[in-house]
Parts: sequence; structure tokens; C-alpha cells
Amino acid sequence: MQLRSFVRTLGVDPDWVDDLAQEAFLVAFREKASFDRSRDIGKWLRGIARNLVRNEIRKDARRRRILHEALAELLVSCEDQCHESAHWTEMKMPALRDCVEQLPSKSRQLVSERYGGGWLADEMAEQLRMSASAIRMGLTRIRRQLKQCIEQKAVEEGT
Amino acid sequence: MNDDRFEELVQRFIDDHVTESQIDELVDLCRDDEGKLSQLREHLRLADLLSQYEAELRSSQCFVDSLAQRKSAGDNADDFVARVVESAQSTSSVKQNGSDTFSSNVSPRTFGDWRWKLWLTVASIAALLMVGFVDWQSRPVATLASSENAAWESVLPTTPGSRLKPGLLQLRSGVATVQFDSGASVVLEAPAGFELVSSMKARLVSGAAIFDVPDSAIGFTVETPEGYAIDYGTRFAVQVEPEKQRSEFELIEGEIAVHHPSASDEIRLTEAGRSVSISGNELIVEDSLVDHEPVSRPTVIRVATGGRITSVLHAAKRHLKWHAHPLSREVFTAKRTDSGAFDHYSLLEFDASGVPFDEVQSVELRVNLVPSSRGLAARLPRVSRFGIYGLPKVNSTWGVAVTWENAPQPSDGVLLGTFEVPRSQQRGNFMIGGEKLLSFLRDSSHSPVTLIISRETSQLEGVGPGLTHMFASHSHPESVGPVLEFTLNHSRKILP
Repeated sequence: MQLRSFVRTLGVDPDWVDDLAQEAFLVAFREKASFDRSRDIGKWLRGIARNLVRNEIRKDARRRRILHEALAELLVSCEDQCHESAHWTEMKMPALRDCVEQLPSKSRQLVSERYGGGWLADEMAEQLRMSASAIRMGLTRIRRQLKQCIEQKAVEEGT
Repeated sequence: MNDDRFEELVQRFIDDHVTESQIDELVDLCRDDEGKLSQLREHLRLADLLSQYEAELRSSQCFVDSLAQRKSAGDNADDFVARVVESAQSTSSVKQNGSDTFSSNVSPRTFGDWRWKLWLTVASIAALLMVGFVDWQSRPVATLASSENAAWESVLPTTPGSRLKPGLLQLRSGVATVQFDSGASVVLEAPAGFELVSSMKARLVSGAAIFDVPDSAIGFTVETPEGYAIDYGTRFAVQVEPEKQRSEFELIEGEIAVHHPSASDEIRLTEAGRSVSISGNELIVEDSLVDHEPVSRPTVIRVATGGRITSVLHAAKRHLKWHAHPLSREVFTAKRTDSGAFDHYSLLEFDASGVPFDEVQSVELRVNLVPSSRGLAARLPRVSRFGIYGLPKVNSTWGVAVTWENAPQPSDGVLLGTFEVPRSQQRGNFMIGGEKLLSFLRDSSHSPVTLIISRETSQLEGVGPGLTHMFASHSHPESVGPVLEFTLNHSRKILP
């Protein structure tokens, strides 16, 4: 599931992220003979995913599974070092769960409507009696808090 | 200044509507700024982790389920695939139960090996099922109903009565009628290029055609090179002139929505004889050139949910909500199991306060079943029964993010009617009507009302998951969301 998130950071359309991640697994399965077992498998899969996204950029617009050509180019262009610095090898779900469930109830509600229900800020605005921009800012703040919280937990676990 | 703008654009990009030019701007801001670029990446990653955590339908279990489902649609008897699927399911349940431990206690190497095994299993099933999937995609979707002096150029069979798989038909001369399995039919006039996509979708590449869409196929989509139309019942004509790059949609009777790819809005045609033509970036609505007799018929008022739909599922399942199904907003769900641990039901809200109830003769609630990506139909009884419950006003407050614990339940409401769905059926328009529904709506006409849809029948318990029924919500791309259809008892004169 880390691969899924990785695929998303390459600028793939959220609706197609699963599809592309599955494709990466399929390619990996086909090419498994060429995989050197001493290497990091996650890294190998991410390399495959990156190549798949490069192919997407070359496709014509109607069939593409990326959100925006120039953006995907920019996101995919950066070689290993910037992707690998993001600690992709850590499994963060349990930490994320603890951090999310500790959020104040209003924030928790924002997260579940946006990411569980899939509503956009603009669509949530009326029901929550907040402006769309306040919701966007709230969600951004929450993501930053969660990132901090997860990193904090990683440090605690490490010690 | 740049930083504020960057922040604003990232927020729009991740959580709201965003335009192409705003993304362009975002790209320009990030292009030479590694710091901004990595911030953007971090937001994307967290947003994705959150949607994996929040939404339940994107689990690896579901991945296997949906492949198995697709496979079973084509062929139920492949015992080998069933065995592989079963073994993968047991692997993925290990994953779910063990989710707390493998982050901290298992060494990275064994974890990697273990993960690799799961991936290989999942990938090998995927590869196996791909073969089945291709078959499934090319199952017949329509029948060639009649051929009036028709001459064809086609790889599909062209004798009347032939079953047609998805593919392209080229009609060189004459007239032909194609009957889709969904109930929709099309009369094609030569010369025409016509592509069957599914029983609910077709593409007119060139030529002229008239589509007839009964209730069972409401939501039928016709694409042309310039745009597409969704039919909300009855008849319309389409003409495509490839050399002028022009498509024209004319409403004969009923209602259609015409979409232009570059505009997000749709144009609804409800007046017989009106037409829309699309060429390049232009979309022109034309009034009828012929005079139509004012039609005298019962007036129908349709009320949709306006986005107030949500599905609730049992708490035992919620901790598995790692992964959002990409379609989750497009459908609402219903499921019942003997244990109750995996149950779903859905809440629908309608605002019928504008309906003149003293003139209403009858009312129907209509919902469209769409193919489910979860569970196996073979695990259902031959027929599943669904109940529609009306919720009294005191219990009717809920938000779209309502949870199992605080959601209103079917038992809080009154049963207004039931409908039945055979397990062999994946699509179709289902309805309940009757005096109970009407009097409930009339009594609560001053404010929005909540209806609950819940499956009354269970599944055959065992190892595999039973089917979760899915119905189109208001944002489904092909089918229409739930509507209340009020028929008024006097004939209003419709002005020409």
C-alpha cells in the first residue's frame, strides 16, 4: 500500500492510482526473473511505477491516467534521491491510525468527510457551515499535524 | 507572496476543484524550487495515506474480491481460480489481523519476503483472471433485432437474431435495429459507423440513429466524437457528421442530458423537438424547427437527493477502512449478513417540499442497480429483498460522515415498501410505489425526508464474501441516482 501512495505522488489521477499500482505488480511478476534478491524490492517496484507513469505522459490525452502532463513530468523527473529520502520503507499505518484517532472531533470529521466520503472542500462547505477556503486550510493544517505526529512516533519507537 | 499563492494552489489541488491553468501555475511555482516540490509530494502522500485509512473499499481483500467477481460474471466453474483466490484471501486476512505487529516486530527482510509472497499471489491471480476478464468483456451485450435491406461491413455477425459482442458495426446501406440487453434499442440508418461498448453504452462514429430507452435502461449513454448524451428515459435522435466534426442530439420525447468534453456542465433537454449541436468548442442549443402539438399528459415531477446520500457500515468493519474505492461517491450500498458484522445500509434524503401534494396522484421511488465490485453473487439466495424505510422527523438528522453507532437505523423508521433483485441481475431500475410511500411523504412534506434502504435477506454464510449490492448515487457516471417521481393527477397543458 506504500506503493499506492508513491504512485499518487507521481501525479497519477486518484481514481487510477489502484489501477497503475496493480499494473506495476503485474510487470514485476512478469519480470521477476530479472530481480536481484539482494536488492530492495520496494525500490525496484517504485522504479517500475515511475516508468509506467513516463509511459502515461506519452499517451494521448484521452487515455491518460495522470492528472496533468506538466505536473507529472515534474514529479516523475526527480531521480531516486528525492523519492528515497521520504522514508518509503517505513510502514506507517498503525502510527497514522493513532494520530488520526487523537484528532479533535471537528478535525476528525473533516478528515473522514474529505478522505472517507470523498467530498471536496466546496461540497462540504454548506453542510459544515464553513467556507471552502477555511476547510482547505483546516485540512492542510491537519496533514501537517499528522505528519509531525507520525514522525514523533517513529522517533519514540526508535529509542 | 509566492508562498501564499503556492499554499493556496496546493490546497485547491488536493482538496477542492482545480482548473487546468491553476495546475499550470502550480507547476511553474515548483519547477525550480525543490523545497516546494517536496512539500507538494508530502501533501499528496499524506492525502493518499488518509484516504487509504479512511475508506473501506480499497483493501487488498477487495482487490481480490473484485477480480473474483469479474471472473465469476463470466464463468462460475473455474475451480482452480477459486482455490487460488481462497489462498490469497487467507493471506490477506493474515495481513489485516497482523497489521499492528508487522511494523515493529518483524525484521525488514522477512517482512519483505512475506510481502513479496502476497504480491506474487495477488499478481498471479490478477494475471490468471486477466484471461477471464478479456472473455468477460467480450460477452454479448446486444442482439441484432432486424435488418431492412441492410448491407454491412463488419467483423460482428450481421444476420438478424445474432448476438452481438462489443465491437464496431459499419452499416453501408439500409436500416437496422439493435436491441441492447439493458432494454435500450437503436434504429440505425446507413451509412453509419456504430460501436457497441456495453449494454448501457454505445458510440455513434458517423451517421444517424434513433435511440429508444425504456425505464430499465435509464442512464444509457451515447458517445459521439464530439460529446456524449445520457438518456433519462424515452427517445432521442443523434446525427454525427465526421467531415464537419459536428454532432447533433435531438430530443423526441422524454429527457436527455448532453455533455461537451471541454465543459463540465451538462445541458438538459426536456422539451420535445429541442436539439443541441456540438462542433469543436461550440455547443449550440436550437429550438425546434417544426411545431409540435402541445402534449396533454400527466405531469411528472422528479426529485433527486441533491447529494445527500450516505452508506453506513458496521463498526466491526471500520478498522479495515484503509482504502477508498474510487467509486465510493458514485454508489451507495446495502448488505446483510447473519452475524451482522459486515452489514451496510444507506440513507437517502429528499427535499419534496416544493411538490404540490394536493395534486399528486401517485409516487414512485426509483433506484438504479449497478454492477458491484464487492463479493460474490453466488453467495446470495436466488432473490434478495430490499426494504425502504421512512424515518420520522425526530430521528432524521445525520451528516454524510455519520457512523454506524450514531446513524438512524431501519428499525427507527416505518417500512414503506420492498423490492426484489434476482442474484443473476447486475443492473436495472427498481422501484417501490404505493399509498404508504405517498402518505409518508405527504405527512413530512414541510421538510427534507430521510429514506433508508436496507437488504432484508442475508447471504449463504461460508468462507467467501457475499455480494454487496451497489446502487448509483447522484454522481454515478452512467446511471441516474435515486429519484422520487410524482405523477400529478391533472393534465397540465405544456406550452409549445
